[in-house]
Amino acid sequence: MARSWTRVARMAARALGAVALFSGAALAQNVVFTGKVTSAGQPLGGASVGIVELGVGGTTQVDGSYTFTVVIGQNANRGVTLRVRAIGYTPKQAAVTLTPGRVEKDFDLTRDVLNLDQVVVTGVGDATSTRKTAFSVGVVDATAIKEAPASSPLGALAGRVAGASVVTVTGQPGAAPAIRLRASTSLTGRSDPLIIIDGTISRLSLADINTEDVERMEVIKGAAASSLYGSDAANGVVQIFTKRGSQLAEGQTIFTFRNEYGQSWLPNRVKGNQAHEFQLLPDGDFARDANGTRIPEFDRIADNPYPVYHDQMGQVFRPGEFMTNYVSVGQRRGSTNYNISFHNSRETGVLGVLDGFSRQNFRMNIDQSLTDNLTFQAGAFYGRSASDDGEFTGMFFGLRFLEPNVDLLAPNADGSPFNALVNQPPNSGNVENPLYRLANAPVSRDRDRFNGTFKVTYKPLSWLTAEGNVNYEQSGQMYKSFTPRGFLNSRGAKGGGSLFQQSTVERAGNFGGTLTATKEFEWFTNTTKLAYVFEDQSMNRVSASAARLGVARVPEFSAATLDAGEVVPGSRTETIRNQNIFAITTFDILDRYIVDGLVRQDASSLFGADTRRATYSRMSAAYRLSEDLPLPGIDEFKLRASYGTAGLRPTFDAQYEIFRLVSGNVSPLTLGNSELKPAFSKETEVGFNINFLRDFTLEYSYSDKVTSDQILQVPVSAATMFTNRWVNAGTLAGKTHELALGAVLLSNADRFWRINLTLDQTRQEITALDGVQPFYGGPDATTAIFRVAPGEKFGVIYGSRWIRTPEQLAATLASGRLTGVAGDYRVNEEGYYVRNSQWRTRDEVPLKAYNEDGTSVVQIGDVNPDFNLALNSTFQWKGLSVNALLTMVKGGDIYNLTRQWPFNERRDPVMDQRNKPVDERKPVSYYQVFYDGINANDYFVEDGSYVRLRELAINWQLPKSWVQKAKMFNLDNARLGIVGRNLWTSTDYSGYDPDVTGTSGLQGNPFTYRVDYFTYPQYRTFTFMLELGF
Amino acid sequence: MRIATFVRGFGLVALMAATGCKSLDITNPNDPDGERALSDPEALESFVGGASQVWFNTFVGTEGGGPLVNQAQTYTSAWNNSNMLFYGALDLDGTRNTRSWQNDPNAAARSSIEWYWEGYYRSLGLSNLVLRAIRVEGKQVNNPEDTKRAETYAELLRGLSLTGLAINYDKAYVLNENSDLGTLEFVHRTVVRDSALATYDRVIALANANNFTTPPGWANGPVYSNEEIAQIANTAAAYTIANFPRDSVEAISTDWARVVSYASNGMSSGTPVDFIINADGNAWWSDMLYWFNGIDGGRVHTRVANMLDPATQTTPYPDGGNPQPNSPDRRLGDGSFGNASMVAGFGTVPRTVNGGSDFCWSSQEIFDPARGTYLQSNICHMRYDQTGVQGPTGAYGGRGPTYMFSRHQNDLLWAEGLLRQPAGNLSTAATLINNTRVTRGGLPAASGAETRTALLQKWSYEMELEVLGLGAASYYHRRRAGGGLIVGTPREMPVPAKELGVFGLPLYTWGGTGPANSPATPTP
Repeated sequence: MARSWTRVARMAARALGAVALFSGAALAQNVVFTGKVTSAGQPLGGASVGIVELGVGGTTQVDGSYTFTVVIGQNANRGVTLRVRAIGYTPKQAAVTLTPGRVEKDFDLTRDVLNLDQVVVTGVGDATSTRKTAFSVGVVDATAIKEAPASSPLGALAGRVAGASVVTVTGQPGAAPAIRLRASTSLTGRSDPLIIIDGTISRLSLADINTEDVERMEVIKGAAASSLYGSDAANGVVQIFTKRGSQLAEGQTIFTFRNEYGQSWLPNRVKGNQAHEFQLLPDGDFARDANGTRIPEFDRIADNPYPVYHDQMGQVFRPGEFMTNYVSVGQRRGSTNYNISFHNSRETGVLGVLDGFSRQNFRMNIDQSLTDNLTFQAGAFYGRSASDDGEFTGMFFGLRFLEPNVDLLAPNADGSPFNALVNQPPNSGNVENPLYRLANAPVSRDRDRFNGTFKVTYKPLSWLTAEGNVNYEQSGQMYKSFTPRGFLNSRGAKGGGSLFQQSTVERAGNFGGTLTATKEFEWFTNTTKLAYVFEDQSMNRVSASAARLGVARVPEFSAATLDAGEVVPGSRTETIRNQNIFAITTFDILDRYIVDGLVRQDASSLFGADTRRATYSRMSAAYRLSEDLPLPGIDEFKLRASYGTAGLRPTFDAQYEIFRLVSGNVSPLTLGNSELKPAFSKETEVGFNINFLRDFTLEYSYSDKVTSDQILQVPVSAATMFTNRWVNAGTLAGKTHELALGAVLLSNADRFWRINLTLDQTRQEITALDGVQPFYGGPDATTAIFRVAPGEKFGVIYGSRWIRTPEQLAATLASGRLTGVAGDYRVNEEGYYVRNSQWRTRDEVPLKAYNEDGTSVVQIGDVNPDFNLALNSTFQWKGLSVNALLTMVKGGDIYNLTRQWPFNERRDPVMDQRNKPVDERKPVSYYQVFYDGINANDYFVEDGSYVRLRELAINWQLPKSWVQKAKMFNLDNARLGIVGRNLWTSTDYSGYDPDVTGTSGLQGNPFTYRVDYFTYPQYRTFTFMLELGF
Repeated sequence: MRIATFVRGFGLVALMAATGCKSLDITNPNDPDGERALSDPEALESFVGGASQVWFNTFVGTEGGGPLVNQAQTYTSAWNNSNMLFYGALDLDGTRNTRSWQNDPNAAARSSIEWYWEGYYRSLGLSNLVLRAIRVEGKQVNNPEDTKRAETYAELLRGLSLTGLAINYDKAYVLNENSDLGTLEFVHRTVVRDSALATYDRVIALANANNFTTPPGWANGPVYSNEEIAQIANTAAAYTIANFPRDSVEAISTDWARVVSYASNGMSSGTPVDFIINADGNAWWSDMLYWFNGIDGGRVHTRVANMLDPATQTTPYPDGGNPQPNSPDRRLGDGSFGNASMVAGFGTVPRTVNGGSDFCWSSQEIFDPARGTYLQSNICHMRYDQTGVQGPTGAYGGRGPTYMFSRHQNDLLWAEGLLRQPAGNLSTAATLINNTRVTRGGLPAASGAETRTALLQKWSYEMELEVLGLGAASYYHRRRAGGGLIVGTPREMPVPAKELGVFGLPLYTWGGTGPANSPATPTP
């Protein structure tokens, strides 16, 4: 302690000395820079003005003025560059000579409406202008997403970054979408990119992060750019930067209060069969046998009306509430800037009985310069969310089996709401009243999330920067599912109840250090960075389940009966560590040739014990052709090429030999693999950027991505007693073309109109399986219909066909699967071959097509779209702004299991024969053949093309004079608006929504396993917005 | 300045070194590997328990047994869970023309062929691990007595696993504690059967030579003495021989004398014993009983219901169903069951004094007759039901005592052995049949003076009723040899496509009356 006081005293003495020095002779040795930065004559606050060579500078105040002082020292009479930068403006610079005294310099910046001078930091050694990157970097900044902020930031990438595919895994409120950048890298798993938030390598759900906090997102799409991130980056990297107040004007404090309130509803209903084939009594009721079962008519044709109809879809799906409140305070003053925000949201979704998802987030970011060469940045985030799930209770399954005469709102015998007894013999117990389940068997998911970031930047020398960072995040989740004792099934039988509760705590931290040297030489500049990154990750889970409860309405384990096996505890722990080092060097030669190279080595506990390390590298180059070869109308023409490698890490369990412990007994499961290594992805990216006619940009990229050493779980011989083993085998190749066109169609003082168009196309092929037998993948065992074999396109659906052509009939006859001759068969009214003898009889059935060798399974679909296209438009006229995002997916099939399954119980509208000529009506048994034991067949393959107005926001900025008249605090500006999400969709797809994938709660690759599987559908929202600024 | 820089840099490097030195060699804390699990010889008992648990769940798993009982028209279910509807359904011509085993990696119904194959090899592998540790590596479990106990029970489970493979598949691997997995070779099912029998002989010898009582963990509660293990092994051996024939020709050439030899020392000999494993609805899952001792899961086929009460339970199933029965067999009686609270949910009639011990009647049709009325019945098997124990009014929940083999089953195996031999003792056979026919069914006794054919009919009736709910599908295995399976029903399973795929072998299948009709995977 004594020593500390001594040190403080010594520092104080030094400070006093410095003040004395400054007040005296110091003035004569300094140069003071002052001036004003404007844009179109208006002051520009928050612009950064500084001297590049010395790393010193300041920030403009609200009135655009700036001032900063440079100690000349040994730099007297040195020529330096004074540069001014502001986000959204084209930078300017001026040469000045350092001489004692005062330098006054004004700048007028022009708006960078095409974002040509954006600076990115992702995948590069140091902050780099997009004019000089050697690979494609997608940037989505706050201005692009603030008008219609999505629940999850990743949703905002849809349509804004070429090559970024976004699918809705589930429409459940609060769920995060799945992302794929360019081609898939995994044959069986997901291809989500690595997410980094303010330096935190995030392993937790992005559903916790609110979009309003996002300042900017940078996206790199594959190994050609993402090598810098090593063994977990083959899927690309999305780096998210949250607001920090660093872009405010000096001395400025800004207070923002944004509210949205509106409703959400289901835009598209799925119809059921509105007719039946049962005998009716004269009074219109069903005729029944002695056991109460309805009696089918002899013809089995569903052409009878139900005695009564209820709007079940309307009873289940109700307009829900959508609300967000966002408050933020940002300030910049001297060496400090910060931003503090609070976000509250509530999304009830479209299931009227549920509360849906609510979330409260608090975030604080602060930057502090301690000295000219020492700064730190810190940030803290805390969020909590709660949701009640409608997704995993199976309600969307039971809903599809309902008959239209069932009133879901009718009371039960005991007066409780939502009639449970909805089964009507002879139909099965698959049917369920969703409202009864949702109201009586709650499923909740509550989550807490914390994130802390700390970064120190130290510049001991003008050309050398050292950084150290510590990032930590933690999530605690409680999941609870309760079915009360006495819960009724659809026939009225009471169950014993059940309870499941699971607590999961996840922690992930990364810390590291970098040394960055930037040296300017006579004809080139070199930036070299050395870095070390350590990652430490853990997951602890404790659960308990009770199979039977002793009393009703007690949702705790005190109610559990304790017979053997009925209460089962569980726990799981995972620890993951990675140690990574890398070096990257970049040469900027004559401002036009950019060459960079990097090498990185990762060591990970996820790799097998005998292959603990993996090495990655990248070489890339860009040539600003227009600097050497001026072309008329071309403002900038850059050619670029990059080749890089990156990896995909195995999952925690994959390397281990596993004998599963079940109730203390041992059961073999997985053969270990001590040589398991990360999948190895190499990508070549070539492309160009052209800025032309001042108002247009065109970016084209071609990506050739090959991912070998796939991490596959393959079957092993049962003789080993194990079920499977993880191995490195198989190669997946993908080629992607991306095009992004930006155009400013109007730009003057009153009007501004910019459009962005993105177009991409991806083709994928499995080129090798390395000895692994071809297999079928899918979201679960029932839907393992996606064939994985060498030479096969990736994402093709295999199954059977129904005979529709003479060729199919001939092959089937040749196989012996049908007898007779072709003349014994005919095409029926629906285009299917049937037996002549059965045509237009109650026995008519479609016939399955067989190949001559007796096999029937062939390719019946392909999930890959022909192309994805998006059009983004921003229009402003004085205070009015209109933002719209239109997305289009052309082609790509969906397997509609949600339609197939209810076929067995005649619930599809195709079976309603009432509007057909009498002799063309088919019996229900004809259609039930298509059910085919839930085996895949071409009857249920549908085109998933769609065009969607994904976002529409119309805002009006109230005139200042009106706002000031309000005299409310220091109200500075106010905006009113309306926001629509998923407002309009055009599609031929018969399900709820074509943006569907079958992996909700299931397994696998959501982009490849496109199975409509009874998931919560996407819904539409329409809200009113009010934003106030102080 | 330089010193300060150095100090800061050193601090950073030290911090990195401190964290960077954390080892990357992380042991999986959740599940052991073989080396860790076997490091403590006492843990071998967990391997025996694991083998028992795996064998149990495989033996009574509906994924394998569900299709078999439907194919045998013993139980019936129109649910397609475990592919029961798919393999139970008939073509328009009444055959199973398209119902060969779907031995294709693309077919949803492939899982039924994989179930027994993977399950029995898991229990076999675990048993062999235990036997290798004891016999090859010389490890001892607690003490010599416990070591012999583990060795004996592991042998029993090895035999049971081999039995499962022998009676269900056309070929398989025979593995023991010395097997080299690098030289796997399929052998004909007769070799697998004989290996199982040799194993049971070793079990009997070991059990007779040692004194022990099994720990509760091996059967999830019930314990067995060494004498009882010998009895169980004898019954299992008799079961293996009797259930092995695929058709009547093979049945004729079966060594029925050896069946009698085993059965006479089996579970109904000496002090009778039932081989029971306790299901807990979780790790020990009594799947067959969950489905077929549940009123709303599956039913007794009308073929069997008709045997119980021909007057009321007509077969095939009539439109509207069959009325409440009044069977002379006390196992059905008037079909009443449960109490008034079950009427609404299950369509039952509250129990009267004439309620049956094994079966009940329900007015409910639990599935759409459009799927085939042959999949319907009003008679439910409730012999092992735990109603009232497991829920307010719920039916069997997959937990409770589950019979693997019963003393009565041993009687019937013994009786069959006598009846199938030209010189078999009919009087003894009649006595064995009466043990259930009279005692449980309340039916007139067989005298032994009947013709062999008449006694076989009575035996067959008892076998139909008494093996219901025992293990997977005893009566399927009997009907394929004794006749009665519908044309096109496969008689055995092929090696699963998954296994064939590991070695790149061509796919094949069994069953169906048409040409090869299993959709094969396209050639790569």
